Amino acid sequence: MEHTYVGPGLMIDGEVSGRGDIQVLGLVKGAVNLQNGLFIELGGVVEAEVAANEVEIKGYVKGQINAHDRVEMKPGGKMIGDIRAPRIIIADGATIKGKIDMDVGA
Amino acid sequence: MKDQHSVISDGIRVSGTIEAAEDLLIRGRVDGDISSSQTVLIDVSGIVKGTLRAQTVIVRGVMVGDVHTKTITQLANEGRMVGNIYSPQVVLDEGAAFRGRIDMGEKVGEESPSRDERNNRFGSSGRGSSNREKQASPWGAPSPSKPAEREPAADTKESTVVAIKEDAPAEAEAREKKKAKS
Repeated sequence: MEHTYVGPGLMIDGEVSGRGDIQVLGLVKGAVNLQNGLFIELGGVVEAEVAANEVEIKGYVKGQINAHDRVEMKPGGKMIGDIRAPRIIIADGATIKGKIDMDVGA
Repeated sequence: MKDQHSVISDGIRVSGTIEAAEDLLIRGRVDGDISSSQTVLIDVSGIVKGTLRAQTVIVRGVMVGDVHTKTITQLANEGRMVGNIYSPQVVLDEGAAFRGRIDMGEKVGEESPSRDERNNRFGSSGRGSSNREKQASPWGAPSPSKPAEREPAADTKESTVVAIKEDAPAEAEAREKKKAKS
């Protein structure tokens, strides 16, 4: 299935939802509610409450992320906000300010 | 469409506004306004509900709402649209379904811009919102012919006269002197 591509010249302000992967090089504001993956590339900015199966960050995210499967922060990726996911990977060179919750049963 | 363009794929729904400085292909659903300085293509599976402002719009899917373009709006044969079109050029292909008004603005009665002119305008980075000025007088009367257009016509007439009287050397000489003075 062809994925959704938010190019560097595109700005979405509102709610993005549905099936299929989304690759972001532009700007997405508001809310993202996805059954698949959200890929924030270098230069991409997401200022939103994110719910997705998988999130990969090479760009910039401000907001909360709630992933069903995993969140991966790649080198150069920046995040301000909380992450909640069963699997979280933060690579060397990625920066984050916020809480991390892997839902560890205490 | 250029190679570099954004895609909203089938299965994705956007509720909100979109601003684009690059071509946009819509195969999913957009509820909200779109403002683009480039081309917006609503493909067969695409649905847009809202106001769409762009350089060029092509509808193969469903468009509900007004469309404002700077160059051309095309409703392709599978396209369905309810709303008004404000565009200097409008193409409705056979098989397209449309309900609404078409307003080609002040361009009515004038020659449509040449392909070169259109391409030049396509390259400009103007925002879609600036075409509001054009809507100020939607059905304005075609402007009266400018005096500048008449002058070249008079020139051609004169040159024909010269051609006919060319075998009268004295007169031709006088004419040349006159030209030299001016």
